[in-house]
Amino acid sequence: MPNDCFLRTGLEVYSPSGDMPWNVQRVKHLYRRLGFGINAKGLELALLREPEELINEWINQAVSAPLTPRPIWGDWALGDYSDFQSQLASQVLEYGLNFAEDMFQNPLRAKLNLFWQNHFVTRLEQYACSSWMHQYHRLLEQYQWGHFPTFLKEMGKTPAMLVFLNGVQNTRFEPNENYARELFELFTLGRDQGYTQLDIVNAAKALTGWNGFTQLCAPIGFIPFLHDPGTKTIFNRTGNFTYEALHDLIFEERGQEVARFICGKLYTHFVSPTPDASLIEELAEFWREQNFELLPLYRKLFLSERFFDEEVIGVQVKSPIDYFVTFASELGLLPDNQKLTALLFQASELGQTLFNPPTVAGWPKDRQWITSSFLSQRWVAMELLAFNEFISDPASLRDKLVEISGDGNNAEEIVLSFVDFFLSRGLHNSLAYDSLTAYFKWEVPENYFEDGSWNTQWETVPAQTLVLLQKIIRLPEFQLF
Amino acid sequence: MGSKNLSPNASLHDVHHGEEHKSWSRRVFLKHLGIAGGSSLLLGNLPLTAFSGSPLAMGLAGANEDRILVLIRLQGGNDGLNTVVPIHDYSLYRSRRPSVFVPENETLSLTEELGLHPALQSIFQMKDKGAFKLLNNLGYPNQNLSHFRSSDIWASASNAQEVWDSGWLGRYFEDRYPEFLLNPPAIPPAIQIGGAGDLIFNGTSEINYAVSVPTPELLEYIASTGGLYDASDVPDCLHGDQLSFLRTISNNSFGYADAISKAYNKGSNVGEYSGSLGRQLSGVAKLIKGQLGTRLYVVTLNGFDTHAGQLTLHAQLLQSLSDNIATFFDDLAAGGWDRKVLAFTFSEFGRRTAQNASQGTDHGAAAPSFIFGPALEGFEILGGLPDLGDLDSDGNLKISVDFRSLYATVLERWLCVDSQLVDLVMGRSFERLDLGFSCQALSLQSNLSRGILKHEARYDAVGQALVFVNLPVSGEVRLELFNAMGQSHGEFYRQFSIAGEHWIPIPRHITSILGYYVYRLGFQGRLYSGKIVIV
Repeated sequence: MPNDCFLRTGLEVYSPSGDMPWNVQRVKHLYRRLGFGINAKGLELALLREPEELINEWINQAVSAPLTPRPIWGDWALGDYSDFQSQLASQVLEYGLNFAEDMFQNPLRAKLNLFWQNHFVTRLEQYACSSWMHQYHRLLEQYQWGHFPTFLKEMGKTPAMLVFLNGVQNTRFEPNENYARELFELFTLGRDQGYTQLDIVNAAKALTGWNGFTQLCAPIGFIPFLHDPGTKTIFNRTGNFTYEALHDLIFEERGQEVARFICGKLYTHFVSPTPDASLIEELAEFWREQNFELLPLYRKLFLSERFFDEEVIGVQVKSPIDYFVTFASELGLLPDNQKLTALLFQASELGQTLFNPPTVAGWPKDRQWITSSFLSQRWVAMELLAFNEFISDPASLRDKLVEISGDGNNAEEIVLSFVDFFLSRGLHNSLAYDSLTAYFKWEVPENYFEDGSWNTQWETVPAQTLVLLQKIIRLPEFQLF
Repeated sequence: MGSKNLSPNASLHDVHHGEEHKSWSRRVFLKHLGIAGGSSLLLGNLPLTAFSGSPLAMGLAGANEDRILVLIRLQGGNDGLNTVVPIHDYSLYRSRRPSVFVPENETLSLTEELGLHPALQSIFQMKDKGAFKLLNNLGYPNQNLSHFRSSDIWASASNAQEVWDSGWLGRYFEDRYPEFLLNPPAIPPAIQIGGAGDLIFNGTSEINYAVSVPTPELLEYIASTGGLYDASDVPDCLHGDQLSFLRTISNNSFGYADAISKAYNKGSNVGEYSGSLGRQLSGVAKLIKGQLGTRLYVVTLNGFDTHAGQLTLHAQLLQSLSDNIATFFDDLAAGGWDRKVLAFTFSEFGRRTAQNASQGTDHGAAAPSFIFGPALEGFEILGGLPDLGDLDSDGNLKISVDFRSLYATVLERWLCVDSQLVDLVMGRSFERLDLGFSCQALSLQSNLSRGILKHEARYDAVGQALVFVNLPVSGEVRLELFNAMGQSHGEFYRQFSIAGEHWIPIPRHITSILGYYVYRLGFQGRLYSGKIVIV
């Protein structure tokens, strides 16, 4: 990042001012980053609120929302399934749809959940069990607001994780280092940050004993006999560390590194893909003072001036889920199960499958989402979604246009406000608006625009709106948020 | 909100609306797939393979293969009577046009019977160079009077009673580039400026063959930046960095930008163009002189829907048409290209013979078309004189020449397309006109030599996708499926099949995901491709 792009804002609580007004751009930014956008009506309401109060209220609602109900198969073991393969498939789909719905109903919770799915990665494809998937997800929902060290401790014991990262095979007789390595590298410290290979070997020993596998999908318990009771040296400290003690040790000895790592990840995910070392350090310092409680950390970051700094608006690349869900949500579409299924399939085809990041390092991020083929694939997939809306209810597209742009008769103004509604910073050149207006005018002869007789009630408007949407979703600017 | 007072123009919402709507829905979708509706966009990462080595490419070396056709669309419905004034029936004309008329003494006298609008001075001069022909009373029977429906009829070349989703030039390209989706030509087959919703280049199998830009400014932008988006003209800081990256990747999906940009910058203009039409024609001239190789262009002059205050507006439009066309041909002549270019005007309809109460005219029927180019070998008037005494029930002029005769003539005698294929493209045989040009030889090998193979995507009642194939003769049929990223999902059909119709389902298991696919059909040593949507 060039030097002249220095960000001046810090972690002070954002309060609207002449320099940083609480305007349409910031409202949309907030809702896109911490959710999946906001429709035209919601935007009007949010503008009337005090941002600090609004965000706190929003967080409080998300925290107190009832957990996703446990499905009847939520604690099934293999023996409880009558036809495992087909039940697994339908349960996973059912649960995925439920999650997709949460993106519309409880966007902040879903957004954070995706963040943590992408942090504490497990792969459904590998542990292959729907009840374990639910238990893993339940853990995320319960602890994503809470005490991070506890979150971490619970995470390492959930069957999905024990199977995925081989904890279940890690015994005192045959140690398996996989989980210990990722515990340091991906979950707490970051690659090559403050640990050695010897630390991994010894941590793996501390983690032994979680080997109580009986059958697929059944709970995996602790078997004291398989735990290595010997002394271990980790981070230059020696003792006969247990699972619990190892976790405590991480925070005692490497608390600073953990805080830096997690805060850095939050910052690059929610604020800007370019890390800002000094601000992250300050945030990490704060988090340690808060005893690694996540809720105050979120509040600190999401309420900060930095979060609302103009320079961090429109700098994130939309993941497939961001791309599809934000569009649907901002347009005010309420997808039924069939549409949600299509949406999940499309996101999956583009590399973002729920509960199934492609590797232990998580889903692609930032520019990795954009290749020529992924880009054209996301266009045509979105086009299909928009087109289905047009076919099933053409008038609804007119309604959306009017909701967003008003019911005037000036095509240029309507296009400008409609296009800008979907973008973080508008279009950089006016030629692009002219082209979009020309597309929007479609086959309607020019004189009807000139003499003011064209208006949003014309029967051509749904088709005109569809054409415009088809162009918007392809804009490079639209891929950013 | 009801559907009352939707527009001042009842014909927009006439009885045909129901069927019109249906045809829009589909074609809006198809046409607007992208700036290049064709494969280069759909199959983002496919290399653009040059069309070398195919029988067609070899045919390109033949005679008359460098001829270019430019269509000038006068959008809105041009008033033929004030464009070519009926001197032969001037008093009747005046009685129907008490105020919206062209004074007799101001017209430019073509013959004793007809005079051009005074704004058409430059075209009048082209007459003396033998580079102008007038085709009167052009149109189709039972004029629809809706802009949208009538524009579709002109683009699709259907009867007024039929709704076709494909355009006449789209069907021609379909034969010309049977494997367009998977093996597109190195240069765009056609370039269209303006007319963002026109279906003229749509094929029957849901492919659009033209690079289509809504404004001449966008063409200039592509030419100057070499892409759809300028990756260097971005704001400062991270947003700009990200935008630059996205623009670069987006540009990769538009494979023709480079060819267009190179030709455009190699070509240059002589003369003064003006206004939007001028910008469009100046761009076309540059592309032609820069030897892009594209043979079909459509430019658009909008604003002919003169329901009110017609006189001034119409004069400006005609002035723009006339001056820019003359400049265009002079410009081409300066590079020695003028004899290779033919242009003609068309409009969805003419206008009512009687003026309305707003100093304008309402939607009409038959109207003249202007044909330009030194290849015409002399001025001539075809189609007879407009007869103001014999109008249809709406009070509009009757046609004497079916517009499809003009299409069929330019296809066969200008673009040198096999006569049988012309009839196939046009749906039936239309009389050919003598416009003064002909082909040295039929150089284009068409698919007809192998019989007419038809293929398209179809969908059964439960949404199962099928490839419909109608074989002219028996032979082995092979079908392979590709996803929108151009990756093969494997061959799903390979069988000796008897002549006639076949419906071949696409197995569910090879289409894991909903969306677009492309099938490739192999038959008798030739490859064809089509688009199919799995929903």
